[in-house]
Amino acid sequence: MKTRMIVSFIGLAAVTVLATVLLLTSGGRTGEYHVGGQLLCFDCHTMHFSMQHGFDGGAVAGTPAPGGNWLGASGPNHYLLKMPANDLCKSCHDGQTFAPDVVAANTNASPANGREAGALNEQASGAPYDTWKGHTLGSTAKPPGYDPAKINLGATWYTGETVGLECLHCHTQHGRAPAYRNLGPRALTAPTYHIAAVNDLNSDVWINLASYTAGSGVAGTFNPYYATANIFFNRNDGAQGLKYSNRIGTFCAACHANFHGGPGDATVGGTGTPAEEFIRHPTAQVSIGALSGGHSSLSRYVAATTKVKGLTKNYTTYAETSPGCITCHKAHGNQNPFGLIFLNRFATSVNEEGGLGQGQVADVPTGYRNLCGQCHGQGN
Amino acid sequence: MNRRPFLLAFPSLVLLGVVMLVGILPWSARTGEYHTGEALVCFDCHTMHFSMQHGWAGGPVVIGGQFQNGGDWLGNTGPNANLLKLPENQLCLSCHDGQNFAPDVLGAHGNNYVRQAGALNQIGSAAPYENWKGHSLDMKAIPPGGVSDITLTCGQCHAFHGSTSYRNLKGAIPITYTKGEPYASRTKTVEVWLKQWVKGDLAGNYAYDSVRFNERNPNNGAYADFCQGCHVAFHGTVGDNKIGGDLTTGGFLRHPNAQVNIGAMGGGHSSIARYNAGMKRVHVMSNANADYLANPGAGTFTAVDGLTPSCFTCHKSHGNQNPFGLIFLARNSATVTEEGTPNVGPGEGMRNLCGQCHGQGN
Repeated sequence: MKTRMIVSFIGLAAVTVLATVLLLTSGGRTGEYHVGGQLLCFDCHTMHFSMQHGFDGGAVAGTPAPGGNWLGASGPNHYLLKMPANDLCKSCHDGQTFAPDVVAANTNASPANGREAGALNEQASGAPYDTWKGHTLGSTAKPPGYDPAKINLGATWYTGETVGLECLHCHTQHGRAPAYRNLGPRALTAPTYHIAAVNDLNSDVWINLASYTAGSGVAGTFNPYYATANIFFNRNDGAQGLKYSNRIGTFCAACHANFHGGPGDATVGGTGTPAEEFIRHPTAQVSIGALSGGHSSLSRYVAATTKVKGLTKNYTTYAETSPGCITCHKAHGNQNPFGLIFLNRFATSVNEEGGLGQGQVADVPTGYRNLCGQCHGQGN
Repeated sequence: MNRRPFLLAFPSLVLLGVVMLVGILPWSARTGEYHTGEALVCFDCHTMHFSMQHGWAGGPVVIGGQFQNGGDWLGNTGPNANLLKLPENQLCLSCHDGQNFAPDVLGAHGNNYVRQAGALNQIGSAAPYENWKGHSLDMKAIPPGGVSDITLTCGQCHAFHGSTSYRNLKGAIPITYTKGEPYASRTKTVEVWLKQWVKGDLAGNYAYDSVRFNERNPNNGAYADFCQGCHVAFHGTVGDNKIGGDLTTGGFLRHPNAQVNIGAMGGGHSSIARYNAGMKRVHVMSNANADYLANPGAGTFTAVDGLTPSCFTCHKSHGNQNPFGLIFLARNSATVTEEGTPNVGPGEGMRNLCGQCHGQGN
């Protein structure tokens, strides 16, 4: 009798361990190309800036090629890079069909409702991706709202005013396994993510896919992973210098700290409970509709058939949904000023710029009213 | 007293003393390599008239075959420049390819040890020793990082008649070495520690595990200087236009081959802890008393020990079966072959090699 119990116990324990391992591994440990087994040193690095032949003995291309068989025209470059830093990132992530295109227009077919992060721009991009419509690669401007001490980062962590905005200021190039989109800097706790058909409310980001394997090189395969339609942001309150309801907000605050925070933080102000009279729009710990009267309206938000992304734990009632940075802005940018998402509550279609309601004409005032009108009825 | 016997004896005594002195002097750079001293016999390689109707003892002469002891052989191609019995590379290969009495340096070998220098290839070499996997004998090309065309011959790198350098390497700066010293108490004012050189013991003399590299000069490496003789752009000084960067923040333009110690910078750079944790490690330059190839998985080196990568850390000098003669050795490799870890492709192989010292993305 005891033997059977012991055997059963061991079996149960084994199953539990296996299940735990499976659960853990379906979260933020796989599914990103820049981590682990997918990332190959020679994709980006060259030891001597010389390649008379490829790693298979064949020809060497001037633009990214599989197997590391390529070398940029400009070099040698610091950190043994095959091209200067931003150019190197763009060599895969701009104008290519095998990797997500993150700069200006999308070479690939648009993912559902557009790229969640939208599009970066550059000085050379030109309309409709002008430099005032999002993050500008190479810009030496001081980030708006820059005050890293507020989130316990060193004052000089951001080197963009000297070297220009680089991809690496936001993304860790060698991957950061638990971090959504390999976001950094490493001094901040990573925004976590979860890839599954069922949400894990404990993670910051839910990518609503049953599974995902990185490195396919096929837009049809990677598009859903980056699609606005499939990405959701859970609400998990906390504080790192400033309050957050999702660690994505803390990440943004690495550069834009003065624009981030919740009630009581000096950056956004607010008095009372629930708070009101904010000095800046809160990005954390303020529930839509918490304060009745002439403030935000949960019923308005819930009634929308095309919603902006709130930070929430309840995807049915949307109770205690808080706005965050990504509620209103595309992380990279888009074709709107400040990368804003001009999404009407009943848009006939949704793309990276938002979406217009029936009969609407696209202009900035209409777009702005559409965005604010997601939650606010005043003047709408 | 009759001085004559003393006077007669004196020169003999002097000669005896000289002989004894020569015998006592360390053999480090004077003997122990076949191509110097008494081991090397002129007729092994040279023929005055490119004619041998009989051998040096009156016996037969092997014509067109391989090297024969006692000089009783002649190549079937000649006469050749420099009175050689065969054209230069062929002559070298007559001993150094397919023989069991001398290290086989071309392609595969049957002498059953992991060659420190790996294997050359030759124009027309087939897989797995294609031309793009190391140094190619007879090939005329501008060496990578180089300036002018050369035709690769053994003599480009090695001194036929011997030199004071490790493996008879040429170069303005000798690559000095010792033989037979205990490693922990070895002489560190030379570039190379050679476990031994015993005539005929190929594995003991030439294996991967028979060699260690000291760091005689913390600001340069004689071995890298030697390689730079052809691969001009690939070696230099930190901060110059070849290597670039600086010792505090890195940012190198090309991978350094001297001066830069594993783990010295910390942060997102190389990691001495990672190197220490390797069960199988690549060669580095080291002046530490502890053997850097020992203590599998439990090395105790620190950044202060100053372990420094150089050319031989990543490349087989001759080549191997990997592109660029790279050593794709995983830290947890079950075995060590001339390729590092056997049967891995370039993607995994590069991560293995870089991962010896670098954790990024690994």
